[in-house]
Amino acid sequence: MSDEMSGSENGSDESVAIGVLTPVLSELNELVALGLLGNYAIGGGVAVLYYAEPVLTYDFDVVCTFPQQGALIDPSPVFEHLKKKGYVFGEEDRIDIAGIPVQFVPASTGLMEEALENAYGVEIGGVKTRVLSVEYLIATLLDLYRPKDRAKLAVLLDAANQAVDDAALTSILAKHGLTEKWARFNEA
Amino acid sequence: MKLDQFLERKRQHRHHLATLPFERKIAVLIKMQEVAREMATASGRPFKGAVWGRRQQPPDSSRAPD
Repeated sequence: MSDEMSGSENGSDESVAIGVLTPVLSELNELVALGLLGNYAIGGGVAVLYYAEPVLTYDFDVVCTFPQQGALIDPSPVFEHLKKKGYVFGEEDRIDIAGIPVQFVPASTGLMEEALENAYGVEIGGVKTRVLSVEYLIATLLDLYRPKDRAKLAVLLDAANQAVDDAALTSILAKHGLTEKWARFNEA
Repeated sequence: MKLDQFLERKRQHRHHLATLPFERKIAVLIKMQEVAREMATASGRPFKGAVWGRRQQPPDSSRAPD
């Protein structure tokens, strides 16, 4: 990557990025305020980017809970609301919100649900949002363990190693049966 | 430049990128997406990704990153 790509010369690129991100974050916050979304946090490649160097990603993954009736999770009110606002739907339920393909990832019980509960509150361009903690991000990537997840894990550990709370990570991995997988990943 | 010097410079650059503010990293990401699109266009391949902030084509689940 060239130095030009680091965008270190001025803040104009940063303003553009804020202009691109804030409509999505505001839309997500509105969904929560309307009760259509229970809670959410930024996950996936964008969360990795939050802690580490930028890696090429196209989707904006949103780990979330939907209001639930019994055992049934029904995301359709969210989709209907966004469709009414004119947002375009793509494959795998990706929704183009203000030019960003957003994918809602339901926080199923267990690790993802716990990761969402323990996400950090942050502010981006003056808009409040939440991002998965680095320890839970590592655990979720380790749990998924697809090639792209392992690649993200390597980038994350390389760049954000000092930010990781080892005790917290060890505890999370043990609780969710990921200790052996973690050892295997570190041996590889 | 010797290989070890190159690797050290690369390591420093990666560290620099990792310590940028989040908003600046998103700006870098958008530039990476633009480069990926230009490379695809130049080689005559369809661009299956997205450049954030632009109205997207219907996404293709077969695209590589993510």
